[in-house]
Amino acid sequence: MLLIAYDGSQSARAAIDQAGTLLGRTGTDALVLTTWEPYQDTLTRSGAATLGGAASMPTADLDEQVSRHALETATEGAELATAVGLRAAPRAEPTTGSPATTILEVADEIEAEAIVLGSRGHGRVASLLLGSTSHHVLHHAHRPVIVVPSDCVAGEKAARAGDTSRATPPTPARAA
Amino acid sequence: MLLIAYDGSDHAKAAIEAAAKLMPGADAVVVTVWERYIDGLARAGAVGIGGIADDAGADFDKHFEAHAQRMASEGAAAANARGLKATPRTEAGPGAPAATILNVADHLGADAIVLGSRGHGRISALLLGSTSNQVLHHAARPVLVVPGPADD
Repeated sequence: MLLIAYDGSQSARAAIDQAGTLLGRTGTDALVLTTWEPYQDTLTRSGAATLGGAASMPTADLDEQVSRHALETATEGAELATAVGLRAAPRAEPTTGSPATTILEVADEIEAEAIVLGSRGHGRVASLLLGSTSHHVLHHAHRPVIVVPSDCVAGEKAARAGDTSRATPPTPARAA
Repeated sequence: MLLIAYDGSDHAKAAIEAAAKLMPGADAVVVTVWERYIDGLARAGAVGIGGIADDAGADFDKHFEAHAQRMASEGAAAANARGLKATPRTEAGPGAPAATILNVADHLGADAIVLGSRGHGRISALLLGSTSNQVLHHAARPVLVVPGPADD
């Protein structure tokens, strides 16, 4: 079974598309995972938990909305995956640490044959061609990871490669 | 068509196994990249060695190329034994292995690049070797990174 991490971003859509092209022939099972963060954790992470009264904020309602949205996102991803030939099911999971650690935990839990990720998600640091989540997953996964660049990322890379013109074209084909 | 980068390491062998399991029966090119001695020297900034490199270079290159051919054949055989439809290929840089791998992938229009997370490099503090790291950052196509047996 594949674990496909999906956050609704263009990169994640590309990841599902490519997973289908590469792996959909055999009707592979896939779990499409969207993580979400309980609001108390968001507050804690941002340092805002120390603001007076933050701990008593009614975050349960907010969490309910967020988890529902996450499940909707995962369902959307599962539909895309089914459309490209995978046998996909959605799952929304609250993060214990970061999206990356949750992805790794779920991958271990389902003994995923591979983790499929877009190279970037919704993160705003556009200079990174490899987002923080895919970076973390790659460095800690004990199973195969497929990283799929989105069209725009692929375009950026192609443009970048064009700036520093390739030293030489590939040497003439030489089959061993 | 998969481009599988192979250097004979345990990780590379694991990469072939993973590719065969995930994409059974797929067409594959198993490529072993190498670099001419003089190009390696140039990259290291040692090109001032000049004439000495020329003589030594030719001999080394013959060895490098033969080794690369043996590796590529070994990799293709392993891939075929696991149900992939693989052909071997060698490619002489110039450039770092990652650049050569990416060039070949572009040249062949590969659907994906497959490689081990690490190779023979000794800097084992890095969980992700320099080649897979560079390939990941520059690939405009899907990359399958496979950890070695010791990483499980």
